[in-house]
Parts: sequence; C-alpha cells; structure tokens
Amino acid sequence: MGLLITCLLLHTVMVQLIPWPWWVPDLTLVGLVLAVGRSPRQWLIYSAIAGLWTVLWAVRFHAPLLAGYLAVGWTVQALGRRWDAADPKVQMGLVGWAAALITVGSLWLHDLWSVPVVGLAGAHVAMTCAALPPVRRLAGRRQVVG
Amino acid sequence: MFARHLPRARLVSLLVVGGSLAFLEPLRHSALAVLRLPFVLAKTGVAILVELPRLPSLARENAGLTAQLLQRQVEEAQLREALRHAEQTGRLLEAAPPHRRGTVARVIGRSTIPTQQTVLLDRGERQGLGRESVILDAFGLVGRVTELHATTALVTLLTDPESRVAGLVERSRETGLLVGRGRGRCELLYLDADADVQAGDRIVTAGLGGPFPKGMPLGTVIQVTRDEQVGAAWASVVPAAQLGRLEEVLCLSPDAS
Repeated sequence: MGLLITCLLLHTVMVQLIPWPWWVPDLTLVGLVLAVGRSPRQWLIYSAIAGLWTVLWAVRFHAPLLAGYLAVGWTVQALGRRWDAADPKVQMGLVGWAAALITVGSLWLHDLWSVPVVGLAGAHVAMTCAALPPVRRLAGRRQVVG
Repeated sequence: MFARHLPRARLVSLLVVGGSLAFLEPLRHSALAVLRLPFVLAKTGVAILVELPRLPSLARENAGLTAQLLQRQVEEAQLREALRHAEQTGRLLEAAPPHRRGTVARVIGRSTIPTQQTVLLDRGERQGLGRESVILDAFGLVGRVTELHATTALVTLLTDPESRVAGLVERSRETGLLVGRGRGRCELLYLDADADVQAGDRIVTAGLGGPFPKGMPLGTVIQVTRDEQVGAAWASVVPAAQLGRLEEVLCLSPDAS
C-alpha cells in the first residue's frame, strides 16, 4: 500500500512541476502494477485507489477511467498466477501494456488521432516504461529498510 | 669648525658609526623582513590571548547576527513575493472587462490525465464562483469552470480536447471556433478556404453566446492550412494565456455579467 501511495503522490507532484502531463510518466500505473504484483489478493483495493485518485482530476469519462484501472489491476493479478510478477521483464511488459491500454483508451474516448498527439502518447508510454526501473529500485530499498 | 672642537677619537668614532649605519641599512631591512613573521605571530598570539575571554560573547553575538541576517533574507523574500503577487493581481484586474467583477484564485493542482487538461483552483462556490465562470490570466483566456465544489473548482483549459470557444480574427473579423487539441495548441475551425487569416493574427473571443465576453485575447495564429477541395481552412493557434505557468488567475463569475 505504501508503494502505491508513494507513487500516487510522486505522480501528482511531478505533474505540478512539469505542466504538460504528456511529458510525465504515469507513476500511478507503475505503482499499481508493482503493488498488485506484490499482493495480488489486494488488486481490487489497489485498483480502486489508483482509479479514484485519477478520476479526482477528470472532468468527464469517470466510469471508463475507473474501469481501465480496475482492468489493469485484474489483469496483473490474473497473469501473476501464471507468470512471476516479480520478474522485471514481466513487470516491464505489464507496465507497457497497461500504459498503452490507458493511453489508447483515452485517445479513443476523446477521438484524438492527430499525428502530434499520437506521438506524444507514444512518448508518454515510453516514459512510463522507463520509470519502472527507478521505482523498482526505490521500492526495493524501502523494503530492505523497512 | 665644529670638527675642530671635537677630539679626533670622537670624530673617528662618529664617522665609523655613521658609515656602519649606512652599510647596515640593507641588513636591517632584511632582518626586519625576516622578523616580520615572528612579530606578526607573536602579536597575533597576544591578541588571541587578550580576546580569548571575549570568545563566548563574540560567538553569541555572531549567532545573533547570523539569525538577524537570515530573518532579513526571509523578510526580503516574502516582500519580493508579496510585491510579485500584488503586481500580478493588478495585471489580472486590469485584464478584466470593466463591467465585470472578478475574484483572484490560486492554481493548486493540475490534472494527471494527459487527455483531460484541467487545473484545480483554491476558490469555489463559497467564494462566488459558478459553473461556466470564465478564467483569465494577465495575458488572455485560460478556460472555464466545468466542475464546481464548495471551496475548489476544476477549470477546463483552452487546450483541452473538449474546449470550444467562438473566436474572432482581430484584424479581419473572420469568425471561427477555437477547439482544444489535447496538447499545447488549439485550432480555429470552420473558416472559409479564402478566409482572411494569416500567421501572426491575434484571435480574440467573438462573444457569440456562452460565458465568454467579447474581445478577450485567445491566442496567436502560427499556421494556416487551406483545403480548396473541401472549401475550408483552419488555423493552428498558440494560446495567449501562459497555461504552463499558471499561478494566480482571475475568475469572472457568470452572475456578474
């Protein structure tokens, strides 16, 4: 839970510092994937927290956004049964898939398919994937210290 | 004559002493140069010994002065910030139309969702804001309130994909619809293919219905695309408001219009 909350807060702080959200990695999603990977049974609570936190800033499409985070949480826990959810490669795949799902879903809902926006969305997904290793390191250190 | 009165021995002694003094002058200089360091050290040592009893009080005095300096620096920073705030508020109030009263609000949050470009204000219904309140900064239109809470309000920015504002080309009076594109730009749509619009034109609100008063700066045209086959043109517009650097904004309540 601590990891997810830390990621949510970090994401919020980063968005305040970098005013264009496309250029901020979706740390909420990274936190959700890592947290559900660690405690798959808590997937519903974690997904609901991440989804509700995101919906807080939304002015439309509240239900689809929440559903997206719930879908990510459910998928991560379901795949975690078959694959090792602690494996960095699996986690990277899950973060990439989840970021792509949420981003493409948002573009589809808003009907935003211009080349610049799709480019920005691609950069956003890439940055979210790139944020995984540092967050994993941070989470590992916290666990050792804890 | 003087030498005649002196005994010879004394005269010789004087000459010898005088000569040796002249010869010794460079030697003295050298000696003093060498002795300077020990003298300085000795003097410093004495000074330290004299000042040693005063050290605790000096340390206290130093700590007090350091604290005072810090206090002054903090006060200076606060005054500078207050001055900046006052200047910005003044500019905001100047930006408001004369017949409409505004409330200054602070931006306290930004959306984490890239496709929903919103900011959160620290003023809400209790402070007189309403849904569709118009939000401005010192440079132009920022957006409008789309979600109102008791003490906060969510503002949809001009660049949000759902933002729609009737715009007017200030120079040629061509009208179109300014639509957000989910990134740092907007587009002025529904222009005729031969519409008189060019890069550098300023776009202002047309005041055609909706909450936005006429003549508020929206942005500047940076590119015009014309499609002769469809018979339409559209212009890419950079917002006038500094959406990436919003701190304080002016809220014009729809009730006050």
